[in-house]
Amino acid sequence: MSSRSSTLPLSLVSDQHRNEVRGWQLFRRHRLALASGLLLLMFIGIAVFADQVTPYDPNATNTDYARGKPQAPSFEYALGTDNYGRDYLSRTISGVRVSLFVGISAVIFQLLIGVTIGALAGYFGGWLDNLLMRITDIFLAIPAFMLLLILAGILGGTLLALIFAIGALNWMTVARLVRGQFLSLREREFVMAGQCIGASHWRLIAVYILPNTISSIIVAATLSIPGAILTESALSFLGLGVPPPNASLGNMLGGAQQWIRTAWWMWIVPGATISLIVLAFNFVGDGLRDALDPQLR
Amino acid sequence: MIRYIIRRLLLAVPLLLVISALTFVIVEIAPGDAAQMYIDPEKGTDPAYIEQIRRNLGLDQPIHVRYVAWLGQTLSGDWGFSFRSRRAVTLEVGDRLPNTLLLGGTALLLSFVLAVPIGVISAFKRYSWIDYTVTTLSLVGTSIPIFWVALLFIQVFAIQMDWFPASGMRSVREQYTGWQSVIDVLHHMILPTIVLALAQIAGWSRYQRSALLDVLGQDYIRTARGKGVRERRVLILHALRNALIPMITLVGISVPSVVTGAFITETIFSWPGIGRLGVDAVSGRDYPVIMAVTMLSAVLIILSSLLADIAYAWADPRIRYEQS
Amino acid sequence: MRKLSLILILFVILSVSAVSAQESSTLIVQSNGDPQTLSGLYANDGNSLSVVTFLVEPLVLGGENWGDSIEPALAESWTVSDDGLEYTFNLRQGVKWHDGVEFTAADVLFTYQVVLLEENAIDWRSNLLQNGEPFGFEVVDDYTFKVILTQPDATVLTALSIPIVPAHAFESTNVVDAPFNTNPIGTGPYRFVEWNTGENIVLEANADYWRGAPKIGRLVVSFIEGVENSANALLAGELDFARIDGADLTPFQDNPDFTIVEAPRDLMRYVGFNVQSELYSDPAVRQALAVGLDRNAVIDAVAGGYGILPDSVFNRSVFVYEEGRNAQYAFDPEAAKQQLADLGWTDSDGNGFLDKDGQELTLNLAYLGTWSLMQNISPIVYDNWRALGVNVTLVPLDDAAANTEIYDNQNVEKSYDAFLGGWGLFGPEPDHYRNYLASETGFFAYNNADVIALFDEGRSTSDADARYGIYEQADALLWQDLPLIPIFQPIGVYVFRSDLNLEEAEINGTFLTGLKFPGNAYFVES
Repeated sequence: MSSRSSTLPLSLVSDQHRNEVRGWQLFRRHRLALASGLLLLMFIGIAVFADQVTPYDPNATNTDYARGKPQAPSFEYALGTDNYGRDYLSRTISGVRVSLFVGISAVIFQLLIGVTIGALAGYFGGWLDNLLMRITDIFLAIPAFMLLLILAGILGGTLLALIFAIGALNWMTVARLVRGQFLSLREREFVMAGQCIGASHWRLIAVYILPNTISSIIVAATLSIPGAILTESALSFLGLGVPPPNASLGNMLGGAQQWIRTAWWMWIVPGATISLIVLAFNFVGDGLRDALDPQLR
Repeated sequence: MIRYIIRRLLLAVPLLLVISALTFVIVEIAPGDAAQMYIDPEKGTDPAYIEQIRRNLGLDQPIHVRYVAWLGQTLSGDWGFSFRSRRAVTLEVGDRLPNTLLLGGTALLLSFVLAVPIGVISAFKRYSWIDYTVTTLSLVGTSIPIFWVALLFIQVFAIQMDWFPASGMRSVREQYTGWQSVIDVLHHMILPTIVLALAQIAGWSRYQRSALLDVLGQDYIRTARGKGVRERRVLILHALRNALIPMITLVGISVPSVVTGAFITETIFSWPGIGRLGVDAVSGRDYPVIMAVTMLSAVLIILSSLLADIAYAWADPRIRYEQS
Repeated sequence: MRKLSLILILFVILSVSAVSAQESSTLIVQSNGDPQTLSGLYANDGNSLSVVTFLVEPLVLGGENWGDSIEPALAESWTVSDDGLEYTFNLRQGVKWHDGVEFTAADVLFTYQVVLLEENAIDWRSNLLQNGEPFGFEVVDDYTFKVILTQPDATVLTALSIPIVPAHAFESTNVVDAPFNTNPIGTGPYRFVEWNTGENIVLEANADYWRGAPKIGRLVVSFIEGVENSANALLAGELDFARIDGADLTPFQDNPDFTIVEAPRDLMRYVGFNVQSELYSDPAVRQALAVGLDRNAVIDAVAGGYGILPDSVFNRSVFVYEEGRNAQYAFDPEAAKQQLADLGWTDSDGNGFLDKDGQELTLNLAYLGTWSLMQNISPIVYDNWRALGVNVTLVPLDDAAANTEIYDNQNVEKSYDAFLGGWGLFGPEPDHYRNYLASETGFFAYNNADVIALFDEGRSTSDADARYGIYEQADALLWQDLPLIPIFQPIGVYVFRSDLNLEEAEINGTFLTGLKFPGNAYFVES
């Protein structure tokens, strides 16, 4: 904590800039994180241009080709087909898109809730802090998976419902983290200086304090995405996640269960893809934390 | 300390009330109701019959009446009957809860026992190949979906190698007694426990590593080192003790996720636990069981976080809860 | 001589040990999970029936879940009066309940009376009504029981095929919450021992069973959900007998350790239409969709080829079924497109979907999302019909939602255009199909006066030839009108250890457990 000099708001920007530059250098030194970042960029690129890069319509069956059995990779189908004759490469690509979309959106949603609640609680303190933290406690004490199942039933199996459900049940860690940072930051000299020159509460929150918490938020967010992706895949594995016929890596794994003995690509491909994406996010998050989190430097 | 504990326990009461009301309402909003689960599609044409089922289940009452009734009953120890099985909820839950706790508890213990040394080694050998290998492996461990690992383990260790059973908690064919039955259960536990622990070990060892690094960076450790205290003494006496504190919290807050999250593992290994029960209850809108499972899990979560805080205070004399 | 006696002694010892091995042997069968109830009166779900079928018995076999033919069980024989109004059952004598009390006509009367009591909310009630009025019952003596009808009814034997429960078990309790429901007593080959929640139910041989004591001493119904998990358990030796399908069969094929037996099941997988929905009220549209659905591909992809392509809305076990009588809706996407075009459905705005008078041909296809079979069928239906230009949306629902939205017999208004479903309608009696095919509040909201009239006529006709003629007409009419597209009738594939002999136990897909006489199963000494 002490390594960061407390300064007036004017020099705040440059201080932060310096931190970012140093952070970037540290991140670059983390070679695995860098490689993972590139890998993620590639996955994101594939997801964005999924429609252009899929060789086939991922939902189009070719039952004459498959004859009820998954077909091994071939010249025609690079990753083989499932038992409906659907191109597995196209499904994997579209599954990557769904998984990334759900994972990232759910985390953005949980950041929106978590940062707002954490910032308000930490900045204002008092009864508001008490109230918001009690609400956080309630959500922390709710058995999330049970509620997720009920919510999936209420909202119906749509992507948005899934994002909402995952986000709504996982914002608590971010809220606590942000609150903690606000609690300590609001006592710092530069904030007090801001108060003296008559900055409004909102300005103090958004301009003075929040930017100083960004690095921890980014780290927390990056490390939350894997959880969201794995939750989606677990729900889809149970048949309660992404609605068919759309592919998600989770429901592909669910569908591969019965082929585990006969068709290796059916479960290796989606399983390895999920693991790779999650792993990449974890490495990037790890690298970011080493780079941005002053406590570990 | 006692005052603090009492205060926390008192605070838990409104918390549980809110959770119970919330769950009740959410189940009510969900489409479909338990009465429908009873009706054989080929016979249930008679509206009077359906009304009768609703009456028998008490579903004809408005929600607030049912909630108050549920609350009163639950507080008096009567948890009602499962709509689905028509068995007492205390029986339904009581039979399964110990199994889930056994599996979850063992998995937690295993994770802890493995994660701490792994974390310590990688912290002390920071940026060495050991650190990289351990960190990478543990990250790979967290990144693989547990149901995938579970399926793989069954194929390899239960079917190909035939080392462990593929399903259940006890052998059905042989009726073991005494020690043999304990060993039998242990034998069945090995695969699901490892699967459950895997995700924890990875995350925890990383956490242990950073906590230890954090402590090693503190001034007092530097001072101790500066004074020439031997490295091992530094490790054992000062650093590890303080680095274990955040671990305790982590274990505390992981309890619920291990217990309720055991659901998939329980299904794949046909383990007779509470996760399976809860999910079936949700899908059948079986209020009494949903409420029981939710409330028990909530109590478990609250208690474990309280225990974590107490352990925290015990491990770190600097922390006092009296005034906060 | 000495040698011979030695051999004799050895033989005796061996046979004694063989017998004791038999007695202590255990047969492990599969069920998906804890039963909802162990009472024969309430069991109507697979999990409960998988256990209850071993414990209790009806007067005659042939009713729902009790096989595909009328055969004596607790009733040894019966006679019908000339006017078809009186059925007199001669009950089997010397049959004992599992607690040793003798089975008599009083138990039969008690069972039927309890079922008729509305407050008990027992599904079987409608079986015992005729035009809303209950059958008349009469205990003639301990072993003679009479059922009196107000008009002839050809379905009465299957209707009476309800598990009989012991009157003495309910002396001081109501039926809904009776201890009997978790600690049942029956007359069946196996008796209840213990219920290990979430794990299994243990039964033991009923030594006094009237067909003869079961050869296997202990029967365990193990709770293992999912075919893939059952397959794993079979391979790992934790199950002895299970129904396996699709891809999970591979490790058992050409495997000397396991035997595979196929047996047709009285089930149908189908796409049911909401016949009242605006877009699908025209039978011609439904026929076009039938032609545009590759049902053989479904059989291959979801059932590993173990399915029968139907050419009737009735299961094959129904007495009126005759293969080839109805013209098959053979898969021909081009013909289907043409049929839709002839009806005015064309893609006039070029968005890939058909439209007519500015309305797009959309189809909400609902199904029970937690039922993996339905989940597995959906991609082909989706893709086949999309290819025709129908804008299909799949709507997976969880159990409770599906029960309200799909399996709803109360409302004519349905929220979907079509749904994927499966029925289990057992035995030769077509009247069982009434709630599906001749009821406006049924799943298909199908209200065809002609069909209803034929069903009513068929029920009150007792002459076999006349009935055949009536249902033959109904069959043709239904196949034309197509309120549902039958996709396939699954063939049950039963896999069991090769040292298990099930010849006398008779594998029969119309019993929920797959075994007609489970008491006759035995292990071969290897």
